[in-house]
Amino acid sequence: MIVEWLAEIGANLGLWVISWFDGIEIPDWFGMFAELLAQVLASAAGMGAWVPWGLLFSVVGAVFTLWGIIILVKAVRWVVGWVPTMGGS
Amino acid sequence: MRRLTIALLAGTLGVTLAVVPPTLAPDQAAQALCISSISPQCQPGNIPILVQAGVIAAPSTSSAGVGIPAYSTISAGLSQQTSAVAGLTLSGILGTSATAFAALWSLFSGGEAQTDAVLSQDGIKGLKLDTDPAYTSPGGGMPDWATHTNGECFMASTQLSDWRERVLSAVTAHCDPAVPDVVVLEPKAAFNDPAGTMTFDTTSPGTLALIWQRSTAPFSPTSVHAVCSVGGVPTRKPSPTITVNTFDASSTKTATESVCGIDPFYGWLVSGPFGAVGYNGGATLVGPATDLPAGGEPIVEGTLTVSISCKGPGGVYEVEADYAYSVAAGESVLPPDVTCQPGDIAIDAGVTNTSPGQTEPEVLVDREQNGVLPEIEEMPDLYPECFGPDASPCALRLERANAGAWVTCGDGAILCPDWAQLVEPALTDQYRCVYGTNVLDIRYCSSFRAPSIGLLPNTDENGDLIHPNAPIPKLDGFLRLYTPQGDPWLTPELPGAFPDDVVDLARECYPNIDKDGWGVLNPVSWVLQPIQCALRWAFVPRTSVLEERLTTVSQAWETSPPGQIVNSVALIIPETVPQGCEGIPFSLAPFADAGGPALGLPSNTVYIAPACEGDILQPWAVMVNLLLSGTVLILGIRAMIGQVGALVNGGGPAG
Repeated sequence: MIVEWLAEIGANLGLWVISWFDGIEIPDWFGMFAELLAQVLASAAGMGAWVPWGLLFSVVGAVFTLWGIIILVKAVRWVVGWVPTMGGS
Repeated sequence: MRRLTIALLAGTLGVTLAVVPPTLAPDQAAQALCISSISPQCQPGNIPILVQAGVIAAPSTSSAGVGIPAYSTISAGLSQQTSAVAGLTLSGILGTSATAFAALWSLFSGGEAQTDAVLSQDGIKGLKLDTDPAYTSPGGGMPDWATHTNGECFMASTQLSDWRERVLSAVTAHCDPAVPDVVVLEPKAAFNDPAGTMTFDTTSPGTLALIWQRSTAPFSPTSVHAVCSVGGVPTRKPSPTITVNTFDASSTKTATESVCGIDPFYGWLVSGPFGAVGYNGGATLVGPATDLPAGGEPIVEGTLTVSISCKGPGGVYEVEADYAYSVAAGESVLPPDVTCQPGDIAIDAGVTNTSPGQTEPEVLVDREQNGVLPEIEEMPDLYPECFGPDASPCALRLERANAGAWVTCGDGAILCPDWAQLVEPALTDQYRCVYGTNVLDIRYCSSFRAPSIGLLPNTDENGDLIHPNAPIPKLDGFLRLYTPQGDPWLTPELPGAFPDDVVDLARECYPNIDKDGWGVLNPVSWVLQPIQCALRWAFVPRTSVLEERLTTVSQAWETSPPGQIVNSVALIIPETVPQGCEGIPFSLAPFADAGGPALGLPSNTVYIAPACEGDILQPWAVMVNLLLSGTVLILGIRAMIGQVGALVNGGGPAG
């Protein structure tokens, strides 16, 4: 029940954050931009001989993944810091 | 308005009469007289709550030796379906004796959003689904019910028309066309479901009776009886008078799943001018039969008296009807309707037969033994707003707490599959049982329970029927399940009793009374087991709960603006790494000549910087690829080192 309670809190927190965006509509230009970007990427598919797409995607993915991990670690460290005897007062 | 459900089929006596062999010699059984389908019904708008089926049988008095063989099967499984079964011994009926069964069953809600007792079209009593979309989930429901005709509930219009033609053709062959009258067909449903009755008015095409049919039990293409008008008396012809072998059984499923949203406990339900006959079967004659030769048939006479007790907000009253019959052996009779006032319910019913010369009627169906459940009988007193001619039908439904509000558990409580796993106080904290606007004790929703799996006691985890003839859960706090043989699977002693797995859990949590129980000095068991259980209760989440939370958040995320943006971006990213070498395509279509591609080229698409094998730029592409690879690697490694360094040094994440 405790874990379920935590899950409930986490879910409600997530729903609360998501609710911040209620009423916001995605502008039309975003869809056009995404479509344009998709066309560009599709065109770039024929440049595989020039550009190391696989390596590029892997490196970019690794950088962003590491970035996310670091943010998560910092967040956990910040939360733990509030606990007495573990950095908090 | 939220409503629905009293799936109380009834107000109808479907008395099926057939031979029960034990007291009859084979030759006697072969000459049995069957009286079938005594079908009084509630008036339009009433709530039918009672269905009875009885069996009487007698050897024919025919001296001509006309045989009507093998009327030996009668509503098999009927006793298993009933919540109250009374065995009757009918002595002296029509000059013989036979054992008979009179069965009564009633039900209170096989599932939410399934039925409500409302006046259906054509003034025919029927059960109707709620039109509230909140109760029409998932996969069930029929929000556009009101726009459908009764026939369309059974099957699509074109199929209905086809079926009508087949039926009319068959009826014409057996009935007197000069006497157009109501024709009753008594089809036998598949999967050994007892038969019901479908009424068919030849004088008013289009007034096909209501038919509900379980999706898993298509309408049987065989075993259809015709009931013709003989001297103004609807008389059933011996079975099988009509056989619609060419009927496409698969088409019978049309619309029943998507439109009718069948209650899984109903085989199917038919209603019409002669009354509604549901799961009880009406008349089910199995086996070959022979039409009697013209003339010389033995005539059996008598008077059937059908009576019911009705109850509404105004109290209890009696309704009775006599029906004098004079039929040839082997034919059947249909007594007139017996109805309660609109909106009232029938609380008991009985049938007697009086033969010529008899002073005391024989009891065929003993009303003393065929009353509805006390919980149902008291409903008009407790919830008067749900009964009476002007009342709105009320529904029994299970609701769960959600963010400070109560939301429905849906059709058959399908949205709350784990609710029966809970125990007090979590059970009543999270769930409540509602009838109309009244909050009942949670035990009243026991009809939504299932032992460990499934949603309803008579369904498996896929929603399929475990046994089509299993009984319908009662409106009480007890979960009663029965095997096809009628043996109880699980009979909890207390309201709110738990499924087996919960019981097993409880056993794990406390010392075994036989081995190391409380009476045995075993501190380890005394302490360790409860603590283990408590820890498990505290820290091991239920998968269903986590899945529900995750699903809720996921759905909210996907419909939110950030979620939509992320999804859009995800769609942009190619699923596979581009590895083409043909270069960037460029269309010259705007410059195309009238007679062909632009500039005399072979195609309107040219490729910029092609570097495939054989292209002049291919060696250069290799060198550029190597150069870019090295650059990307260096920049990537540098970025990651910077990030890690920033973390170690306490700074923000480096880009």
